Amino acid sequence: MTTSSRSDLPCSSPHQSLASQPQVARSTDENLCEVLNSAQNKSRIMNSRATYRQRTPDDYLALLDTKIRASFSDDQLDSIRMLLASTIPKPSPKLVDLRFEIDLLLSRFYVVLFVGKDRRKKRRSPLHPILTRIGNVAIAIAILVGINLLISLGLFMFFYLVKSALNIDLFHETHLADQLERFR
Amino acid sequence: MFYYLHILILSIGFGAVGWYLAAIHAQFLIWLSLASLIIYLINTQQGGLVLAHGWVAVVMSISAVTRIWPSVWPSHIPYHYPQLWALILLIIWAIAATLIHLLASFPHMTQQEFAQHPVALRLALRHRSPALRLSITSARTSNLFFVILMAWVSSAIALGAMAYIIGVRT
Repeated sequence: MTTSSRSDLPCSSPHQSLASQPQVARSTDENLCEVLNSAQNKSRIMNSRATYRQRTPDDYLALLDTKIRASFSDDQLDSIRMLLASTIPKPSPKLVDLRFEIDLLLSRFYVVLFVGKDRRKKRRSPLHPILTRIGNVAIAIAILVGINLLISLGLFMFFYLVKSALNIDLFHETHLADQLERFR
Repeated sequence: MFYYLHILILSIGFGAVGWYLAAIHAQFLIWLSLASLIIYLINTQQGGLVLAHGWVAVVMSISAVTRIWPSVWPSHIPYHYPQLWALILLIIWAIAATLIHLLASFPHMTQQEFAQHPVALRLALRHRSPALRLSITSARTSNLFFVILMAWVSSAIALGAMAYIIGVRT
């Protein structure tokens, strides 16, 4: 067995290897090449976030072993394509699609906010038991209140400073510190 | 080239932060929280932006309410020139937000990139310490790179604070 690196292998693309499927036994290098091509292709397709939303049935068919794929007739491939097309999710367009992550060093969380037109015909069936749903709502409210307070504080201070910079005097001869003193 | 420009802006920016904090006679807690924020941001990068901006908003709110002002700047500005005071605070806020983004987006060097860096390579080759060797041969971002970036930013802050102290004494 040769010990050449990936780049040294005379690898062809999966489509080329499919087209020129040899009938004779392959050498070890060619088999290794096919495995590498297949693995690279799989990881390329599965890891590519940009193409996730635009995946077509052919992308999934490309994950199949070339030998198995070549054994299908055109009619069979068309049937599989139709079946895959019906299972690929088609998310509705979102009016708001906000995603960000909060890293707390020990663990990383993501926050997603979607707003879009509900095109669902059936009622959404409850996925979790009632206690879990109550817990979810309580945590969601706590997170929303926390984020709201932080954003409100930032926005309030920003607009207060802009107001002061523009010399707009809402409370005559009193400053924010004086107003806060009243609450003490 | 991009690395050097990025680190130059970070150095100047954090030097100014050190100068400002020394000038307002910031408490030890503020210095400690700033150091924690820098370590946190270097480690988390973009994932730490939300909390970092929250920290800046809280600090700016405290300084706006208490009218903290550098002792070397005219002390009557916050009370007699609110326009100028608010404008300066907005500028400081904008600079802080920019620095946070620059630090969070600082391109992390992978082990391979770090090993290609001429200065880092020489530094690593000279050291026989197993910990250092491990840090430059780790598969992910170099631990040594984290330490160097942290030390660099901290030095910039310390130099800024020292510049203030030397300026006041002379």
